[in-house]
Amino acid sequence: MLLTVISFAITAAALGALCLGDPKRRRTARLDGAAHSSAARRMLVVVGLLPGAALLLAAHGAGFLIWLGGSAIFGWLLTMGAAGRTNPSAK
Amino acid sequence: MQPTARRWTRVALAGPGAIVTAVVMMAGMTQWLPSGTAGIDNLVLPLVLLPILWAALFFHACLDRRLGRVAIVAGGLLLVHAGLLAYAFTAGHPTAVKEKGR
Amino acid sequence: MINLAQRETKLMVAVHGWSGILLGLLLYAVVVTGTAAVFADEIGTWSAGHVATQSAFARPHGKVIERLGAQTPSKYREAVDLFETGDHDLGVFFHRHETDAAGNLISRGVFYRLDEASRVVEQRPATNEEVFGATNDNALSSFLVETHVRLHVPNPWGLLLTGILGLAMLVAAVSGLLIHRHLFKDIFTLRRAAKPVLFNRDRHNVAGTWSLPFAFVLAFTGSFFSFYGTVGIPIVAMAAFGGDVEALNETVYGNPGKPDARPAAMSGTDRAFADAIRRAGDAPTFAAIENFGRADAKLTTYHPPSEGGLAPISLLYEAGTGAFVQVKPLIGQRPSTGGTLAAIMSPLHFGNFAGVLSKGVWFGLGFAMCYVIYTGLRLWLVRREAEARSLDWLSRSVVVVGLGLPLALLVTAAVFLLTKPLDTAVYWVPTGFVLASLALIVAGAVWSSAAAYARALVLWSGLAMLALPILRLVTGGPGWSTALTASQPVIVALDCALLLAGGWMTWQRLGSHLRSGRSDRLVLEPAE
Repeated sequence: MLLTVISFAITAAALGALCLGDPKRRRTARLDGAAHSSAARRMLVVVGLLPGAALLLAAHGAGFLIWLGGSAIFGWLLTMGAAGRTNPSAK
Repeated sequence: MQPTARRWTRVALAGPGAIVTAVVMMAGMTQWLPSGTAGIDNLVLPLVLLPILWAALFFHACLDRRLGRVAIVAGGLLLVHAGLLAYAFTAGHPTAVKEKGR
Repeated sequence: MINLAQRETKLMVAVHGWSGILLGLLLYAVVVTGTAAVFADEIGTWSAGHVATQSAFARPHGKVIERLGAQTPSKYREAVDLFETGDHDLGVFFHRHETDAAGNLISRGVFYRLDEASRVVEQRPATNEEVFGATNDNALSSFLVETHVRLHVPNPWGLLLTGILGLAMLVAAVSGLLIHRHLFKDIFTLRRAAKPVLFNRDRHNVAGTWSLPFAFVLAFTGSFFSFYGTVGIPIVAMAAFGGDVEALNETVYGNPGKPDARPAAMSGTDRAFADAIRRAGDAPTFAAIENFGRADAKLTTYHPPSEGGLAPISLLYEAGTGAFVQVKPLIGQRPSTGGTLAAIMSPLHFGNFAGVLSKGVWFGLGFAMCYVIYTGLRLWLVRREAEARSLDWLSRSVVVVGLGLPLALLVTAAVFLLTKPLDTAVYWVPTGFVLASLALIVAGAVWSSAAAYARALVLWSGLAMLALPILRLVTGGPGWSTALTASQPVIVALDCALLLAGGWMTWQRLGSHLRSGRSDRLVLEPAE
């Protein structure tokens, strides 16, 4: 279980970084500052996926699924949270 | 073939065609799949794969531009598996499978 | 991500849109109740006020089971199901397999219920439908599961319907993947300040993309469960055993060993359960004895997976002596590819392979999928509203189902709490749901607008969640100190979850009203 939690934490950190530097998100939100380069994003993706690969190699099926599902939920909520205020006319 | 006729042919292949072919394939796969270490793979795998079989046939019927190829693939799979079943029943094969499974 | 030609993309958009709009409301009902049913056991514990924590399998019921076997007609000793029922009581169902008038394979026999002191508190003739169906205690959790599995439509049509909805979800997931050209580029983009069509498309795409692998897995496993009993088993039995379903079951699930019909004492159950708990590290969730009273009687215990594992564990014992025979795969007599694949369908669908942690993740994923379906329906409507086509009736229907169904389920929980002490929950739970749903449908039809109704539903849902823990206490449910003293954290946890969720929804709604300073109907940020 500890391995699963640590794996999730690493992936969550990578997802957070990816979200912060996402080029399309920054462009549409008109944020100042440069987005991440492609190389940086690729590296973050690899870092984010490595814990899952480790769980698979350790034959920790339950941990892998919890990691995958937990990361998916985190990524979704992160995107929702990073999106800013709502336009009241858009429903 | 007229565009309307092509469309309805594609609907038939993606709709009832995919359903019938998938179900017949599920039954027919019991005859050729290896039974595996526990003697049950040929019984259990078709049950597990049924939704995937249907989905594959459905999307093939939707996405393959060549309607003739869709008909040949689905029709061929249907005929082969129906043939295996017909052979099994006429040759009294279900009993043999039962014995092999035990 | 996948570059289809324009013609194929348009076809996939049509397939995705129409399968969603035609079946989306029903699919939403299945997914909402499925999401709640992830915690069916916990909801059962919370709603019925169960505080016992010791497993029935850890208590010495063996002598009583032996005595019950002796007094049960021998024709019903073909098999015995042992399972927990009520507040960790032991259900003992002696039965045989037979075909009913409609040609369906059923189990018929005698059901007993033993309390913690092994007293027989219930005894009646029964079939498997009656034994494993709703009781006064579990009426709420049973209702949730029944709605999810077959939408309360009688077999086999209910299962076929939910199976078709599972396939529709599979089609929507795959077609959604095929039509979304920039899946990863768009994955963090949600333009809240954009026009309604773009905003709705973004929130549908974002939720759909993140939950896509699980949408596929849950749709596939869900339709497997719906079709395998109704269509799969009869057809495979026909193909491989000339229609003999019992022979198929015997081949797939049967135990090893030679038949031996000599009478034998069944005194090994306590020893077997104690050994099973030690080996598996956890009490069984179910046990079955085959050929009770015979020398070849076998006891199989079913346990949750081991740490890190996915497939449940099953252990085989000699029922007469309690001697351990082997670790038995769930399906087949030896480990196999087919057996393993079939065995993981259940944990993949229910998310119950690692306790509360995996259930929590599956609940979150279910919630995400409800959101995908709801926003997909909203997107379809918003696109057409932009073309000035009147679809107010559909817009209201989406609100009634999307936000009204969860509220109706909360009202149903309240009805359960009120009627359980009166022993009438089995009747009133489904009736209460129907009445609540009718009221919400009528209100939805007459409310000033779909948007205003949506805001009202969110507020009422928040208030309902806040009210449920109080209602549970008022109707005689155990307080927090009683529950914690009995080491039963589920009751406290669910109360807290309801209070937090209800408090947040109500605060958001009222806070929005105060910020906007409107004195008429409350305004809310669009339901997220």
